[in-house]
Amino acid sequence: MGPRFEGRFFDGESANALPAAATFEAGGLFVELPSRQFSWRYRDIVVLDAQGDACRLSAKHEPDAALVLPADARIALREAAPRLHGPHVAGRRLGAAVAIMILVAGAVAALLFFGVPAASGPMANATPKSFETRIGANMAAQIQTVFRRCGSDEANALIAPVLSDMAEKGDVGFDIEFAFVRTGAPNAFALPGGQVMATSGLMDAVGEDQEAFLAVMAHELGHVRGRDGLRAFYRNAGLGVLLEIVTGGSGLAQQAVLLGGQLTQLRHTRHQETQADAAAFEIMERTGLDPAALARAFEAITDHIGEIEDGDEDRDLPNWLKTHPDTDERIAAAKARTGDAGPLPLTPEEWAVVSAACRKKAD
Amino acid sequence: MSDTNKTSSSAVRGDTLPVGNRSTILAMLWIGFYTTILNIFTLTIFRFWGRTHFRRRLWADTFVGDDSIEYTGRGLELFIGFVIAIFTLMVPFVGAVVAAQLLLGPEMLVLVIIPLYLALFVIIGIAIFLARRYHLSRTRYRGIRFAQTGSAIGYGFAAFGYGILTAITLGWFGPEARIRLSRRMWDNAYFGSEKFSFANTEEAMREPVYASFAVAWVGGILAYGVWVAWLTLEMGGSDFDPAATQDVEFIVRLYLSMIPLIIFIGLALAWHEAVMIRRIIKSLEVGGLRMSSRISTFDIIELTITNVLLLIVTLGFGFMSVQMRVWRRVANRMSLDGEIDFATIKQNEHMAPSQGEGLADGLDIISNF
Repeated sequence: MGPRFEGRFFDGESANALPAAATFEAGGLFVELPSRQFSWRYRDIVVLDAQGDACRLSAKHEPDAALVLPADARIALREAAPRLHGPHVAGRRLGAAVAIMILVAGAVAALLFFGVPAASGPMANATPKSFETRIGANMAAQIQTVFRRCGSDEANALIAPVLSDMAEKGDVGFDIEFAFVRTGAPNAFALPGGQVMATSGLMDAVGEDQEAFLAVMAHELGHVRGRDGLRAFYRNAGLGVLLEIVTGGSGLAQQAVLLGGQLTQLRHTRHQETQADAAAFEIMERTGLDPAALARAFEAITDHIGEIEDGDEDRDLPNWLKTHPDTDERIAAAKARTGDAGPLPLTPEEWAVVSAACRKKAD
Repeated sequence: MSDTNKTSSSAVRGDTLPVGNRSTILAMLWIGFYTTILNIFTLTIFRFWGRTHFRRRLWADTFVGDDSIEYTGRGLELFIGFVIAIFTLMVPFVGAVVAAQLLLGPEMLVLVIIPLYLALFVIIGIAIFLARRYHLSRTRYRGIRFAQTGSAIGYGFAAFGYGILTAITLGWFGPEARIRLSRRMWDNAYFGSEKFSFANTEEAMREPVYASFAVAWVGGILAYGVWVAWLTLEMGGSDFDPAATQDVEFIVRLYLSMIPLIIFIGLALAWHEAVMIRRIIKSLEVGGLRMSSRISTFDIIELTITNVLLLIVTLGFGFMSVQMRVWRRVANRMSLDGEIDFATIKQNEHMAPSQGEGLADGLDIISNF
């Protein structure tokens, strides 16, 4: 006969406590109550509290029953059934659970870093163009509630046909909707569905150089052709939903995942930027522009950023070049494409109207 | 518990039944520490298990009379509940918001987004109710389960309506809302076959709810006003250069300045918080036992200051210790008076929810309790 302990028993039917005597026998725990006696097999016993100053036990088939014994009964239980209730058992179970969680986390990370970016391209290609155009128009309307449109009807009427011609010759595949927006950062962006915007800061940066401006536009048309805006949207939405699902929207690990996600996105964006540069060269060659103008645009933008940072203005505005591949490399690549150029699409007078329409400073 | 050999009689009569908690900071620090570390390696999936470990310890260390309460919830239940809530609610919600943003113009967008966000407030109330239902269904004392009945949707709409009233009255409906929501919960709570009741006892009604709220309201506004004034001076008023907000030194000073702000707001709220805890606990009765609380303003002040320090010193690992210390103080200041006949209290027949508090988790609205 094994060790015997006095304690209390709750039968799970009423809150009344019954005096109990429990003996650890070879086949199981033998419990004597005033009115009855029974045995719990060791494999059925559930330890309710592994610490604390009482040993609380229950049984799988009587989950509401509780046998409360002195703390020493835990040692007796481990000795009676070391394989079922040894100190290593709970640790091993938890270890297995954590291992599964780490595997799941690994699978999620793989999805985050590879699956979502890889799926964004085919998803964008499978999206009907009319749908993308609608998405782009709504995004543009929303952006323009934050970044105010600027420029004149006359300037827009001059530049719109030039961009449409470039888009047609470059097989961009979308009608181009162009707008100037007022913000100091020298920037241009292509939203889904052919929405292209240039900032007043970009006009400040390129100044008189019509061809440099058109080079930046050719680059944005490259993004439109690659449907990069829609791909970025799918990628961000995928990352966002995945993060929400896994982390519940907060916590340290989420920050780590977010940072990782941004890094993959940066890498991906660099790839798209290189492709957009290549598309820009092609579009410019087809429209009789000198691809080297893209190099002048990069230089003008870099100089302009240096200028506004020295002046300590607008330092917190987004930096157009930060998400782009190494600028020196791109300048070199653009210069290498120098070719014969035809006449510029706008006369100097027309360009003066366009370039002055949204600029902050006079040259 | 400490005296396991004692043979309890079925009825406890006349005396005050001791209530308390004997958790230690060290035990909770350890759970907080390994939960944080494992959260990093499991992309926070472990948090459901960490929270379960915390509750098991906290519940087991909490005693009423001769016995401790017991938490029977499982990490897997919380995880499954969370996954269900995410896929049935959060993903469709986010999907609807994103689709509206993509497919609607700015004017139509407002018409769709505002009702969606208003619905979210109702859902938050529902989630709080469901989380509470899960808590009680997984809490057991002397082999008898607790339960929460009542309508989660009704609670959600009530919380939403009270929230609007509180906003309209600049916070002054807040204490009344808190009491009403507590009543809604407790009037539908059970210990086995025994129903809790939230009664406006004479003692509960004597608590100076609105006098203490006035102090909190004025004090809170003053503390916040002083902080905003300091911030304005610090930022150089109208000459402020927005770029300076990027400076690490400024950000550090901003965060450091929030410590006295939190402490001052804590001080302003302390009396009211103590009053509200006593007001609610003193209203509760179950099976002939009347609950009472002696928690004081000083308790709240001391807890606020020491808990902020504990969080800072432990670099955040101490969050479970902080929650435990609040619970422990509330429990140690509680007492149960009257008589209860345990033999007459039968097992609870209400259906327990099979999953955890997923909705609340998906919405990030509950603590680690």
